[in-house]
Amino acid sequence: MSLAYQPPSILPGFNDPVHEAQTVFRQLLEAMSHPGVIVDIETTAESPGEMSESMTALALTLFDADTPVWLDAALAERASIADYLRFHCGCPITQSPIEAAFALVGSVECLPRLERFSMGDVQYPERSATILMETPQLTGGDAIVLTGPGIATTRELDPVGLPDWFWSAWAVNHGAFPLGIDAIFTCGAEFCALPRSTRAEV
Amino acid sequence: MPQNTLDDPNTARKRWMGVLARTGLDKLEEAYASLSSAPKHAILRKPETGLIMVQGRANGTGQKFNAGEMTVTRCSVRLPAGSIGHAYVAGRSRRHAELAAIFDALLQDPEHVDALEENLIAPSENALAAQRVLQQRKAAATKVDFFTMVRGEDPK
Repeated sequence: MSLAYQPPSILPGFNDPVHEAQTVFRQLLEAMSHPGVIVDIETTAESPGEMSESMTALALTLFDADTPVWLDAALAERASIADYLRFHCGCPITQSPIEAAFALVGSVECLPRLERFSMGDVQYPERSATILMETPQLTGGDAIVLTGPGIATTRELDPVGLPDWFWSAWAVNHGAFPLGIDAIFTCGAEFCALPRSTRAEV
Repeated sequence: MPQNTLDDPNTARKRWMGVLARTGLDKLEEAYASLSSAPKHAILRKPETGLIMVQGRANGTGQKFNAGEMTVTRCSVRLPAGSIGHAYVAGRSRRHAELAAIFDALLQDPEHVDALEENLIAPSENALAAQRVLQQRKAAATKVDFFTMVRGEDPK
């Protein structure tokens, strides 16, 4: 007997969805309230395709039926990733970045311009996009000096692989506060957050 | 989704999923124990209980309305051969959902489908049908014919 539609193999998500998602959410809160601090995630979820463990765990924690998700070309070409997210999170996958509540970027060198994502509107600044980017390394690149809420004096961040225009675009993004996108850099089991409230100087 | 069930390639799977969901847990356990080798399944989604809204249409064609909520437990498993089984089962029995998902995955395997059809699905479907007929008979016995209760003339 053959079925007309053979679904691709889906990998298991969190072993204990409620508690693991709560743990990861707590870690994300820590990361967001201390911009630039690198946080280590332990997860039981198996990552589909090219996604890192931290990006997978954050996706399983954050996405649900109310959050349209946009995938960049590097992730969208692996059908297993969209299937995994749809199965475990039930999230709609959108083709247009402006509609996305979350964007997953597999190759940060090809990051689309930040203006292509939603910055929220004045009544509802929280309706902006959060971009999760896979970076080759979170440390070892050119150092950026961060200041702002959650940073007592200054903090250095030196992720590798961001496009040249990123930090000038980030200044514009920061200037639009309370509007603006939030960024999360992921690499392997580690991630760090860059909320819109953080000022970055090269 | 195809409107005509004859054109739906998933008709066979819908049938056995429905039967598995309605079959009693003891029957499923029995069938699972009698498998020649217990499949080593990986859990994709642990059994979890939630509410679903049951919707109906008056006369099957009218406006959609919410009939009420029901408790459902769902589970998804993957067998080593690669087939993925899903189950949505009324009630809160996690084991029932897990076993129904395992059998759904096994039934997609051409190696198992005939034996399971013969030993589990067909007998269970017959038993369910017999139970349904019995229930209908019991209900029919309580039928009241209202034509005997015509109201008399109002006294002047």
